[in-house]
Amino acid sequence: MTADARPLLKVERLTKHFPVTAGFLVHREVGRVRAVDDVSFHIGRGETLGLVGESGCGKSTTGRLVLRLIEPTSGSVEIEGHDVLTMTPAELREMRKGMQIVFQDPYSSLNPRMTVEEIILEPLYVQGEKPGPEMTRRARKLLETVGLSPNHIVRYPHEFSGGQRQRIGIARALAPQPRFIVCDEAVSALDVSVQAQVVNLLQDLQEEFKLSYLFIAHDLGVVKHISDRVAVMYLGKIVEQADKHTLYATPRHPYTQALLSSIPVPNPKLRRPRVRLTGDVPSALSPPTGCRFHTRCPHATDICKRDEPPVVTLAVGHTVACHHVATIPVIAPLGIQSASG
Amino acid sequence: MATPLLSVRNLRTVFGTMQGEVTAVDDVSFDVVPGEVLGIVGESGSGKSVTALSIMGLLPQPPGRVAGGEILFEGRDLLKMPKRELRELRGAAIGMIFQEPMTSLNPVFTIGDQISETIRVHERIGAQAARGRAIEMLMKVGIPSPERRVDDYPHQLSGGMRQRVMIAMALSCSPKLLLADEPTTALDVTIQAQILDLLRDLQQEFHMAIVIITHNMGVIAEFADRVAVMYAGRIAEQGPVEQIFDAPAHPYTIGLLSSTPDMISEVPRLRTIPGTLPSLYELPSGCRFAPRCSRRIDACETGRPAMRAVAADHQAACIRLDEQVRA
Repeated sequence: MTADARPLLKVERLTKHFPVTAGFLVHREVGRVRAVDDVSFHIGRGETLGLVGESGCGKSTTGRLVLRLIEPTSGSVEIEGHDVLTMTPAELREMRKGMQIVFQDPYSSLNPRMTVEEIILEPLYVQGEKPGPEMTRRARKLLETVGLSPNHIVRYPHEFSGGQRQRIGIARALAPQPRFIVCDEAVSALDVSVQAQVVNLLQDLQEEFKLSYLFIAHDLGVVKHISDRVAVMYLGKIVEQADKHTLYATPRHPYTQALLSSIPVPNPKLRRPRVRLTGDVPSALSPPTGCRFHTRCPHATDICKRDEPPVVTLAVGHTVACHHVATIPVIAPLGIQSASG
Repeated sequence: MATPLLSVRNLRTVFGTMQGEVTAVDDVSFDVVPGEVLGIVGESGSGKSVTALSIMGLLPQPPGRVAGGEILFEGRDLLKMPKRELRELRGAAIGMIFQEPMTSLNPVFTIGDQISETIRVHERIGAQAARGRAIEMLMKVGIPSPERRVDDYPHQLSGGMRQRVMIAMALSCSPKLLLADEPTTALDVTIQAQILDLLRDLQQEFHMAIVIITHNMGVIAEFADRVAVMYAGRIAEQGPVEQIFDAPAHPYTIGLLSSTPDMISEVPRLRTIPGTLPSLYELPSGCRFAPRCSRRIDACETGRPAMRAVAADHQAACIRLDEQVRA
């Protein structure tokens, strides 16, 4: 963790409800998908926060809300002390130099009709820069930074493999010299041997440019490797947040315990406790009352069905949203003995 | 070792394309004994799914074609079997589940009808009795209130429930062998654990053999007894799971394991395998892993490396095995 007292990004009570409409000519609102509900976190300079959860938990929506690619229903997002949500379009464009995103799919996120140079420099042209030899030099430099040959600037995306395309996507995100990058499943589509190369690249770039990452992924192994702290989402809520060592060694929320106990570990000799959840994730359209996890929770009682759990701070930086956190047994779902390191 | 239930010998599967014929599976051999779980692991394009489709006789033909080898099931070559007999075997003695439970079920029939149909194709049994068996199977795979759910259509079920229905269908005739092609890849982690637990319980109950195909080293470690690691259409290494994870011998296996973050050991940087997977159109001559291999010598580029014994029941296709210092 960084020693910097003021976080680069501060997100408070962020909420997004998507209306569900019905009707042919007149659209009536018939329900709301509570995709992200009252989510708070912060990211320091040079720090990586991992955001994990199963499909539909709202992790990608959170990433887009932070960059204001979609408008939040309520809450606040501050980057370096500036409120992103009240900015005018012109202010927002200026601010976006500092905050970029790398997408999951290296195939659909690059325009097939543009050359690599045009793709990489587009964020700068949006910012008002004009094409010229100086810009071409920058494109070549950026390609070199992400480990591709500078001569590739004249090529088109289809000439590259998945891993190389993801490097182009990273070069594009780096072009405006951001301080903060949202990596939305940025390595999920890649094969293991190529994934490791891109993960290392992201870490090198973080070191070199003092970048902060919001690293959104469902692969808990990659998240542990790259993050400083990790937040776990379930049905639009953050249920637990801690530094990675604590979270992976002794998670305290029953959902985190089950999640980590369910993940297959590439070590055939490992013996560890088995916590299995029954049933499926409920629909975000009508999430359960009280604690959203109570329908699958082995420790649920009446209060869980009735009241939303408060966020309890167990230690500095370790928060859990559970009524029974004090009485739920502490387990080591990965068989990791202590939380040192 | 017991007599194998399934014995794949020198399987070669090719695909005809606009740019000529490509070999997706090249001289692949492995055995599966009754009641054992063999994992086939590999990255995209390694030929693992094509191997499964070849065994089942479900290759899209054309463009696909088994160009050589034998697939012996209880000693009989599936490739030489008349179509009718093969159809009788498939679904009865050999079951199969696929990655995508959305598209493997017919949307216009109830799940009960689909399971009953499978049973009635293979056994002389009345509609009412088949329905009873379908309900029993749905109960076995953990579907709540099966007597009601049996009349549901696939769209009424979640992804995890659909995969359970697929398993119920595949196991309805008590097969001796189950081929599972990425059965949990489309599922969330907590659901994946449920399905793997279920498969393990049923495997014990029916004493069936399973061939599970996956790209996930974690699934292999937790589920398989033996593993075959495939790279660019060939088996690079095979052996008992504990040995492969403990003392991998092939440089590709070593690279694959060390580039997978395992959540337990902490390393500042992941080891990587340089370069990318080769295209099937431009396969390197000699060892296919040679261009990415840190132990490459000139001899690697000529001639294909033969499978050599590392230990009992553990082989690797690398010419430098003897010189290797195990890490």
